[in-house]
Amino acid sequence: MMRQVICLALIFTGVLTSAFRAVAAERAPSPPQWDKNTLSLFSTLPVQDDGRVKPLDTFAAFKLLKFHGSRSCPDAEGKSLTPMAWFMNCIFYPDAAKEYNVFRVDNDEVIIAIGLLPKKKRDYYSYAELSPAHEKLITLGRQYMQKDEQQRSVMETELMALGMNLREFEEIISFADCARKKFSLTEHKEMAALFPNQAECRLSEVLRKAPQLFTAYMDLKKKSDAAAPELKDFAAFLKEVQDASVDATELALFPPPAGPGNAEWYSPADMVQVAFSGEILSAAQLDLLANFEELASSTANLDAFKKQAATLHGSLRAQATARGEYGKIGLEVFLYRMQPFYNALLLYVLSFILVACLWMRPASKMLAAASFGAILLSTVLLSCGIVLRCIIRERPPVTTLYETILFVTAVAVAVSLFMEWVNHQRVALSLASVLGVAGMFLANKYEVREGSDTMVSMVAVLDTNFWLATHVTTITIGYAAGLLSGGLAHVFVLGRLFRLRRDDREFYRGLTRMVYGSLCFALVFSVVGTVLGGIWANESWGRFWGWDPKENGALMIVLWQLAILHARMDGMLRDFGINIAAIIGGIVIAFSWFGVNMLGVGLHSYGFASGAHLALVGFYAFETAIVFLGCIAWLRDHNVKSARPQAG
Amino acid sequence: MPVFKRISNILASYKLSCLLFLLLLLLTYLGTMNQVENGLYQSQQKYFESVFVVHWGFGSVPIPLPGGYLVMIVTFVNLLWGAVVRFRWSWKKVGILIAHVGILTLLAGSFVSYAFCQSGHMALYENESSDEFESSYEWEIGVGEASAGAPVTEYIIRQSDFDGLTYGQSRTFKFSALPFDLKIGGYMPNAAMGNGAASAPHGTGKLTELSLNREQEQNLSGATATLLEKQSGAAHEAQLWAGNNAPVTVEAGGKQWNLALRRHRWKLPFTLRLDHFKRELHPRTNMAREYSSQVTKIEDGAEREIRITMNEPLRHRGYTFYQSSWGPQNGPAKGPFYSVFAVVRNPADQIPLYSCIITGIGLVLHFMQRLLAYLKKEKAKKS
Repeated sequence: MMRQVICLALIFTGVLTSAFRAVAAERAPSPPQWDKNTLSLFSTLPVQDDGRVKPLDTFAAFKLLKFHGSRSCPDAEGKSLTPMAWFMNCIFYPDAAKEYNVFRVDNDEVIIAIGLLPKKKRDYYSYAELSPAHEKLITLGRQYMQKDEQQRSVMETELMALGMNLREFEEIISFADCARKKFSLTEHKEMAALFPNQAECRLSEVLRKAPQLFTAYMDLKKKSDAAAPELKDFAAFLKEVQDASVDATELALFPPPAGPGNAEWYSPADMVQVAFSGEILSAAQLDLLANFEELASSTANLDAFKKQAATLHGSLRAQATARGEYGKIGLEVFLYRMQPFYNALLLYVLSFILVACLWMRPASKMLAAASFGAILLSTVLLSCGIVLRCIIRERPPVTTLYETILFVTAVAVAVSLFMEWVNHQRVALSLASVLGVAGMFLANKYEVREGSDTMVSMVAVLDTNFWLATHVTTITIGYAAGLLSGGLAHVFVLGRLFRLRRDDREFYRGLTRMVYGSLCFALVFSVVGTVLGGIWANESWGRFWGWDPKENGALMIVLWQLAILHARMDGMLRDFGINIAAIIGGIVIAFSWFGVNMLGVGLHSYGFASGAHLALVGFYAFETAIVFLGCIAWLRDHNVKSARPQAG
Repeated sequence: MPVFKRISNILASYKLSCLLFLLLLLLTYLGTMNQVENGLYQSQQKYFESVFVVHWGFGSVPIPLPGGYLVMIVTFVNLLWGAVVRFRWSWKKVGILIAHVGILTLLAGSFVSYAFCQSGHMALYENESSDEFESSYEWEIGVGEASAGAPVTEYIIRQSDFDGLTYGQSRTFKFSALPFDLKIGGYMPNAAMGNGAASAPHGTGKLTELSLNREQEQNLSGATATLLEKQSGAAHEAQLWAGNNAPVTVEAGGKQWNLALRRHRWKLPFTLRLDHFKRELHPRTNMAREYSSQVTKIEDGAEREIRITMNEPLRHRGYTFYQSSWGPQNGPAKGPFYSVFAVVRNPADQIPLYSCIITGIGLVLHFMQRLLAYLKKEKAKKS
């Protein structure tokens, strides 16, 4: 987030935007069809980003997701590219990549505002198409940035996002420029002594000679006066090197030697900065940079390119392994290749169809088994995804808002399956498929909306596996069970409203029992989770309860569930009442889970998603309507009941 | 005793429990939404740490409600009395009973915290040491003779004794050892020292009342103090402002007196020195991975080095020190830094943990019993 803000500030304050750079004017070769081997080499290349070392594949995929809203993008001929292929083309064939329709624009007003002709209302644009309006985009973006966040219209926010994406794209496509560049020595006579018999040199060579360069520069400075042409010439050379690399910040590909205190990997820009500030770069880093230069310059010869790629991969892998940062790279690439959450969504949709068929042919044992199996399989897939994420991050399952969605879905579906296993009513089974579809749909939407890596670093106070494992996991299980009870209650309320199985009292009694059971289950976890949260707060900040919005949200869930269970004891709530109350409980949970994060106050206002606000309000409204309908149905049935004796 | 019985029934009833849960739920919701506008501290004072609240519905409709404090006390009574009245020993009820004991413990613990907890903060620069900490919210007025160096007896007036003295109200405080009475009035919860304050001698500037800040820590209170000499009856007025770094000096009875409006302070039975503060970022981010303070605890001449970091506070003699903040946040990257510790002395510190364990055991026991009974029934139905 912080990085985004800084990035935004840099873009719109014009620090970086003075030059709209035209990259490598000469006609470059067009990108090849990448073979599996090369793609796999690049996919498993480690890179440091946002506090951790991750595969280049993950990095590329989230960039594409951010720009394009999906994980594949068409090339100039319309053939679909994987994130890795797209990213490699951006780095090594920037001219070709400029022609890809990669920027998704949801609102054509943005295109009109920057003075271009829109295609469709929602469409994709290439960098080449957008670049004529670059100046206008920057001017408007800067203007909107002055506005208060709440005052910005949707179009304005989207325009700013487009401006940011465009800038980031430029950083990607210009990343290898400094590696391709050869610095002419013939124009700088002072360099001749340092680089004998060379007409030009690469960035890595300059950085290797940085200490000598500086000694030579200081000597010269002592000998000659400030206005001497040789001194100016020297300075001009150094400036040329600096200018050429200043924007090569996107990939931190070059790890420092293993050892304590060396946490930060370098991008080429960092390397220049470090070397020019008098510090010594490691030989291994310089070798890697030289290797990368060879790679970037051999795009015309594919065999040479592949050879260089293999060498780079080999040495980078060895260095990252020595630092203990390579171990999970393969696993993470596997995780994203497997796409467990997307595939779980597809499987849940399939199981939903199967369940629908089952309701039409209730006698079919095969359909019943297939539905159960499909839900079980997708839940296993979802759980595998969650477990893999835990292993990769060495964290408990829930650390971010995104992960709560995955975990809540898994728990809710698993508990439904347990209920189904116990009572075979097929209600829990049907609900499991619906919850699975809803949860995975939400998770995938959320990932696209965020458009950034979902395995993030933890801020200091959250950086504790003990409390994440106990408090966060418990409270999230509480959410899941509470939502499940709300879901089951929908079946009751809608069933009674439409007078389905009118005379099957046992069916409705069983439903209420399930709602009650999941409420009890939810209460245990909500109470324990809420109190554990307080104990964590007491360990971290020295106060058990601080009336922070997220704490309050948890308390509201507990209080509501307590009220339902006590009202049931007293007989104030019976079948209908408990079910309607459980649906309201769902609203309370949604408020606590997402709503309070959108208030923008307190210690938990992470995962702030403004557009999601509308979806949440929609959910509140929908559920309120169900509650309202439920009350009508209850009044109707109640009147019928009380009218009967009179009629009789 | 039908009246007593009726009251007893009401006090022990589930209906009252439900009403209380719903009231607290409503208060919690309103108190949460109120934070968006008015910040945490004010919402907390208004909705939770109060006996009665008037909530302005839709901005203009006054809705009187019981405050959080009242609701929680009645809940405690309801729970306790319910348990006493309904108590019948049975294995079926034992889980529920345990859970309720846990909740009673939690509520009792929070009353103890509310009444006896001292909480504040201590800010130390590297190599600086201190044996006192100050409240984040509570003010006090200190009066003592101004003397160079030698320790003097200071007389303290706590905030609760003067924060009602707003506008024209005032109260006179008498100390037998002082040659004057002290009249305090014109209290302002948030004030600014008027222009000319910098050049005027301390205590003569003009206080102007400001509206309250959302963040309570940013409010600086002000008050007017008048020294009434016991013998001559002469009056010396001084404007006290929490924003002043040094006390105001006033002459009375031939001596110089220091008066200060400042954050309430508590003395510690030992001294803490900050040796080094460290802040680590996650690589290539601006996100903090860890804040930690290397401190030395000095007690009766013995020194011990301790590290305080997030989630790992220092506990000693009933006091707990938490890594809370640091600064200057936009100062030079290499320091010097100061580290801020939240300091808490809470006799009921560990009660929530015990309560959580008790309640958890009770609830799990109860609902497991219910689940097993249900499963048995389902099985019987099938066979």
